[in-house]
Amino acid sequence: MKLANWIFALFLGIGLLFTIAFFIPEVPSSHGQPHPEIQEMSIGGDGQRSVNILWLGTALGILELMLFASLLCLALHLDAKQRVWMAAGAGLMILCFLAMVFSYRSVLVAGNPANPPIFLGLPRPTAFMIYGLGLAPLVFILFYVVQFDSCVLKPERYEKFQQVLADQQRQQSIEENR
Amino acid sequence: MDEHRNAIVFGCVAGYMLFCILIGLWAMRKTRSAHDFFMAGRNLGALVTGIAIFSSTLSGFGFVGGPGLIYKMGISSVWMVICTAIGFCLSFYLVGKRIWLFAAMKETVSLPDVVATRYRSELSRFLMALAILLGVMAYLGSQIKAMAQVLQDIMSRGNFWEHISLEWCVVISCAVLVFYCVTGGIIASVYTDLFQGLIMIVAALLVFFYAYRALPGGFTEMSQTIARDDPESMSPWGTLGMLGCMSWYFLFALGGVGQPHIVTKMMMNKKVRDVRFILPISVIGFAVSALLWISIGLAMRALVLQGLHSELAEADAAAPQFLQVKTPAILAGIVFAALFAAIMSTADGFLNIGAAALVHDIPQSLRGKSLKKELFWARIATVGLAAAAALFSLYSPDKMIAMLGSFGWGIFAAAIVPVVAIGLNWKRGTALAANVAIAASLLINFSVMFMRKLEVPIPYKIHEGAIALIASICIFFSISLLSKPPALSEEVEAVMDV
Repeated sequence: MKLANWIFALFLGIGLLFTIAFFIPEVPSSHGQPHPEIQEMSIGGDGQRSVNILWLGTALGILELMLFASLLCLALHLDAKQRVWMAAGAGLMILCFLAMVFSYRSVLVAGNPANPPIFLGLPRPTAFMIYGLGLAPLVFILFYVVQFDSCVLKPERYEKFQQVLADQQRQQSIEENR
Repeated sequence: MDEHRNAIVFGCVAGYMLFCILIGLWAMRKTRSAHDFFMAGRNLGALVTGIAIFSSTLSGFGFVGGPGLIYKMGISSVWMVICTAIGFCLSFYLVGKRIWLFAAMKETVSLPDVVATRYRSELSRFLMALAILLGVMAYLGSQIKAMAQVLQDIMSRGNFWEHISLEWCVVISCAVLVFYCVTGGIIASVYTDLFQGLIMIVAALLVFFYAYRALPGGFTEMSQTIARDDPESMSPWGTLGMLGCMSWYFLFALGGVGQPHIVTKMMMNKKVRDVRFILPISVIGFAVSALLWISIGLAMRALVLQGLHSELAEADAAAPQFLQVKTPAILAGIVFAALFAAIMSTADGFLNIGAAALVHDIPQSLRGKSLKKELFWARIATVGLAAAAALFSLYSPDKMIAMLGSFGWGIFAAAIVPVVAIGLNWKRGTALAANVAIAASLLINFSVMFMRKLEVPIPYKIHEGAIALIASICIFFSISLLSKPPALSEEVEAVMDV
């Protein structure tokens, strides 16, 4: 399958999952409710609100991350080894996302969400989100910096571009002189 | 020092504005043509471009609305922050190199120029310019109003001008903004962005330190306090819920590629190879500045829950209140200056691309040539746009302005992502698909705005912008695949093969 078609399929998949959400009945507090005592603050309420959509949200997250990685590849000229690096970056992001979802689920199952395990100042699921999912794309940034000449702007391709540019400028100056 | 607190804050803001004016005067001498006015002569270094890009991305929303959202909804709005790294990657991978090459090939001065070259269609240029103009007008009004409200608060609190009207605050803040945008064009804009970005970084680092010390147990105590009150608020989904958060993540990661004031700056660096350094500079700058967003939000929610601070009348007061009670006067002054910097650095970019759409792109698409004396008309258009946006911000209801701000962002994302981010990397994309996608994005966003006005609920608070974005991208792909493959010019082939 061509990469662009694959990307289109991922967009359709994400669209489909959002559409499915329209048909799943909402439970009270599914998108928060006002805080009982403090105005201008809202609460999420019972964690059980997420149980019936956890699969949908997880599928959505995985498709989104696959889409982002695929879009990055759309702009690159990758060899087999570099494809492995991109796949590893995508895998790392999906791993962090799944770690966040499963640790959130385990906190719910443990039945004591008011005292979650803390890691570096944050509840563990939120730590996976911020330190994991938030920082994992650094792999792609590093890749962009290090592999720039070999897959973003290959010297031989850039030279060809410069030739066309020079031809065009020569043509233009001839026309102007006329 | 604290008895002079208001004077210090006012002094910092006034000093900042003065500096912007000086940069405008300096940049005026360097602005000799429309190309300088819109493209900074395509002569910027990696550091300047990188910081200008991140500071334009982080608008006043990040400094006021962001902490307010955490105060109100817990962790939900952090999704807008953690998508930054992947969002910048998408922008640079998909657009960074390609748009620079188009600019080099055709001496383009705007995004619609690039679109017209890529699709060989003046209609595409016109529609893109129209989308940009509509988005700019909607977004600029909200930025100007935010700027005037902050200035009014500072002036009246400091007894400098106790009952200053909002109209005067709009006039003062717009005068500074318009002055440096008119005199120095995009050159003034990017160099003020550089200064503004540096202020934001310093302010965010210092505020993070004070937020950490707001409770003796630091962020651990804040997390535990918030989780004890409502565990879901400190969960990854916050109070918004899982599907709402995933729609935000999708929209803000991918939609960032469609922000024209950011994408246009990617044409301005001197060397194409510089994009490899601009990406990390932008990400680091944004990540550091966003520390303010998360830390103040968490600290204020925990302080109010512990009863150490009275509850806030409105969530957006979280940042100003924190600065007022928890930081020394000089830091509060720097942060207020940074807040102005955040708003102005976004607004100046909008003014510039809006002026380009008016004097360059729309005439070019309708008459086949741009206006004579383009530089002169660009300056007039900048003043006109700012005046129109200022009037709109003053005389429209608050709710309408917030709605249009979000509408502007939605238009940019839905119109630009398929046509530019995908279209510049996929030869199969056709002009017809681009035109229909842009028109559809306008139609969908207008419909969504009316739905919102009628208060039609979307299940799980899935962001309507995400729906509009998916729809316009699917339209672009479908029509392109169903139509005949386009014949690309030699120049476009040359750019897209690199």
